[in-house]
Amino acid sequence: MVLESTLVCLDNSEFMRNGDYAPSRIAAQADAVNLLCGAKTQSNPENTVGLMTLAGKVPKVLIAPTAELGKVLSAVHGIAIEGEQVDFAAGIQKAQLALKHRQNKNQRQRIVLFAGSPIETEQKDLVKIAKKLKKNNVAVDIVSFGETDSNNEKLEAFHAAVNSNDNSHFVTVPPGPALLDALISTPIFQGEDGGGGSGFAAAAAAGAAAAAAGGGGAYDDFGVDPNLDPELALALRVSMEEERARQEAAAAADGGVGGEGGASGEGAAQPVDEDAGEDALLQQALAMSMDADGGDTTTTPAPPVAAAADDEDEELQRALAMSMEDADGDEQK
Amino acid sequence: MASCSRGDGSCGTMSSSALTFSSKQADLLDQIALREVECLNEAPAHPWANALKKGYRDDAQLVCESDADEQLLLNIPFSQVVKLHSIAVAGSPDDSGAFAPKTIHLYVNRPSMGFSDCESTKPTQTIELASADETTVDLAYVKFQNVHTLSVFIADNQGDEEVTKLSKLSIFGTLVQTTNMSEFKRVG
Repeated sequence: MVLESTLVCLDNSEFMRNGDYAPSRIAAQADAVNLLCGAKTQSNPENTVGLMTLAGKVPKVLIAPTAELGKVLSAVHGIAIEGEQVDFAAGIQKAQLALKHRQNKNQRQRIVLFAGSPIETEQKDLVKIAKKLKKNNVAVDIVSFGETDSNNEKLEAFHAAVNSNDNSHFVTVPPGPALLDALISTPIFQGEDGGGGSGFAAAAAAGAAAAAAGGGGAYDDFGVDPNLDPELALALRVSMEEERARQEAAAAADGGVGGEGGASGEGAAQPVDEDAGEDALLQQALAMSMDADGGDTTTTPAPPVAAAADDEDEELQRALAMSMEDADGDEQK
Repeated sequence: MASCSRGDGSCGTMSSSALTFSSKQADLLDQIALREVECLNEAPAHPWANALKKGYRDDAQLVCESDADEQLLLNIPFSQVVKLHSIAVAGSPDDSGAFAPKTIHLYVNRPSMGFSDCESTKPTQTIELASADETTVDLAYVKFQNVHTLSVFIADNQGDEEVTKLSKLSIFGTLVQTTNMSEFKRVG
């Protein structure tokens, strides 16, 4: 729920006719911008979003930051491809100027830069601009697509210079049908708090994912959309981790004893051949597991483990013998 | 009066004594529109609030720190028009005051100041500080008669360090007389 003013810089150079991002780079970009603007305005009612195009004779601010989503969407609709090159330096500086004169000084400033055509600006000039932006408290999210091979070095340097306290993000999207899908799960959409605060983006993510791949990207292992219910997803993930940790600990502890626990027994026995030191660990684990069994410790004597047992068969034998002993002990009681 | 013992990490006595130079000049803390204060180039972990807000500013360990380089720019809007009489500035005592601000440019009524504007605009007043101790500086009173936004641009620091640490900034002055509705008499 960060209160911020965002200026989206669209690349509308001739390179955007390329169809490597379906249906074309410009259309894929427009989709992403539509959704991004929605996500930004939904995450905080006071957020504003502006729009500018980078190519053409000069970079042009189409909409100064506004809270009215409709204005932005209609401006996106009217964007035409023009100009062979993008002057990134001028564009970014103009974007900063537009942000500087925002009405509400309480809003933080953010530029979202779509870079899909080759960057002509020298890297050191870009870094200089980045430092200036950082000084003026402007965060910059960068989406690199299309000409990623030639651009990424410069853009990474730019991102490194502008990033302050991890407030700026850099995303590279490989060619494919899903520029939008790739972006939805990134921090650019999710916001800095990462809580998926934008119901708009989440709903859109669910829709897009369902349409694209039948729940491919957005759903995790549990069949729950983490965007729709982040708390549930987190709880599931945490409990999954805990269970996994518990199982690992149990497997380590059971090591030799768990002859009956097939899977865990194998898991523990495997690394034995690799390292003789493991034996000592195994013994320790054994002793601990015996302790854990409580009363058994006194009735059952310490298992006669041969220190030189580095063979899986022997291990198994030993485990069997011990489980028999255990069973005997129980019966005696 | 310009010095202040910092052994206990507080300067609480200073603000009260500063008020004594004239009964009419008050601390304008309550007139600052705190929600709209903006500080450019502040380090995220050391925001402007540490230098400006009540309580925070009196703690010498809480500082407003610069981020990318040594410059800091504070845009301070007031909730109503004020006359400024003086400002009190204290730097961080760390490293015997090397990080404390040195040259301060003040600009009046420029709501969207940026660093580039600072270079191109003539400051309303420039202040040179000699140490990190809290210093009260009288302003050119005639130039600060009708202030709704004060921009404080800290250009450099005492020890030419990479970062500047500002521990306290308080502003003294009076409210411009506005219509007192309780004295307003209906005519006719």
